[in-house]
Amino acid sequence: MTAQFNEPGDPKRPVPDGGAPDLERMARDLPRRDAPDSLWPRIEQSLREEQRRAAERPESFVDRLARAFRVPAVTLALYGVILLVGAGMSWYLLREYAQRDEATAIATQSSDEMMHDAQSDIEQAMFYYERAIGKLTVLAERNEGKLDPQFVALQKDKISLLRSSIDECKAALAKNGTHPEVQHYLLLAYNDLQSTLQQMVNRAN
Amino acid sequence: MYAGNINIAIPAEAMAASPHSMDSVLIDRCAEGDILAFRELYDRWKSPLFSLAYRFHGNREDAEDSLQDAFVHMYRSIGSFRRDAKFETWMYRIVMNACISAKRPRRAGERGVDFTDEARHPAAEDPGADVAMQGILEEEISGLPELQRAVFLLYASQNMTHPEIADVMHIGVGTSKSYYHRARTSLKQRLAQRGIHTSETEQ
Repeated sequence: MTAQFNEPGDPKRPVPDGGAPDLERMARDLPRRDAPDSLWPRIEQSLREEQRRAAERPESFVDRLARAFRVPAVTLALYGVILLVGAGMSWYLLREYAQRDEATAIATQSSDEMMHDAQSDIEQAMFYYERAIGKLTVLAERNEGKLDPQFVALQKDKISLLRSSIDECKAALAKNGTHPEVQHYLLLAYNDLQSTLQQMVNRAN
Repeated sequence: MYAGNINIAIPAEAMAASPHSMDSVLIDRCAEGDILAFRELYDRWKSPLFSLAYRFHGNREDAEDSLQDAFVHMYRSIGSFRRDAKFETWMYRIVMNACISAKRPRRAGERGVDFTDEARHPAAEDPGADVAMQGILEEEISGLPELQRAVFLLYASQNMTHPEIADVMHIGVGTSKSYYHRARTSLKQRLAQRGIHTSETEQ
């Protein structure tokens, strides 16, 4: 079948007609220039050479992609470079962020551990105070007969007051085990009780 | 080499469809390396494109060189032509780029403007036209700065709108209008100096 085509280039912009000749009409009426018959053979020869060179050169991966995506190979290669640079920068930034996050996690974990250790030491101090107070109480009761009864009565009042303070502090710590002020007063009370009992034992000896 | 009628199997639907649909069929075939289909595209568009290149350069030899470069470039890159773009715009862009990037400037004695001779012995299909005046106009157009010349020809001769010219030339619409106005003013002055007075109508 022989293709018969319409002439391309139908006017799109409305043009005035009639009246005095103006520049646009003069330009529009300029004679059409026909391409010489010799032009296509020149073009075809260039195209054949282009095809021959392309056939000699194996199609690269980029060329195949460029053809598939209908973009010039140079553009595709540029996209590739931009993508690689972007991916590289993203990887670097993510790695930096991850490292920083990890360091923060270590520091946080270390602080928690330190606080945990400190609390454990305080609880151990309380435990040792109570153990010492228990031994001193036994010793004081053993030597109670050797001491002045008035002194013993005063000391027992003081011991009773201190024990009730210790019980109040323990009750408060049962609700909030790490309350620093309660821990402080508890340790003071332990210290006072230990000191009072030790005075009784020392005086009896 | 191929001369005479080129027989290509074009689908009947495409034959009955608009010229743009036919271009689309041919573009697909060209993208697959079909030189015969490219010849059809060339035949369809060679006349307006050659006229444009001829008026831009002012001589046949440069116009032929530019059109050859443009069509080789089209064939090479037709596979990357995006279908959401207008083929006509894409094609005019390539031709204008080929014209503007052609070797320049010419020294005296080299290829110059040869409108006048051809105009006096026209391949003129318009016997009523004022041939001498047309020759002078073409000569003066070819003397305009390149971008002004390109915009003027696309607007006045190819009947494009400024947005279309902006698309073809990769410039702003305002820039296109500005170039056109300057080209028009310059042409009117030059023609007036040669005794040709045009009306003040600007479209």
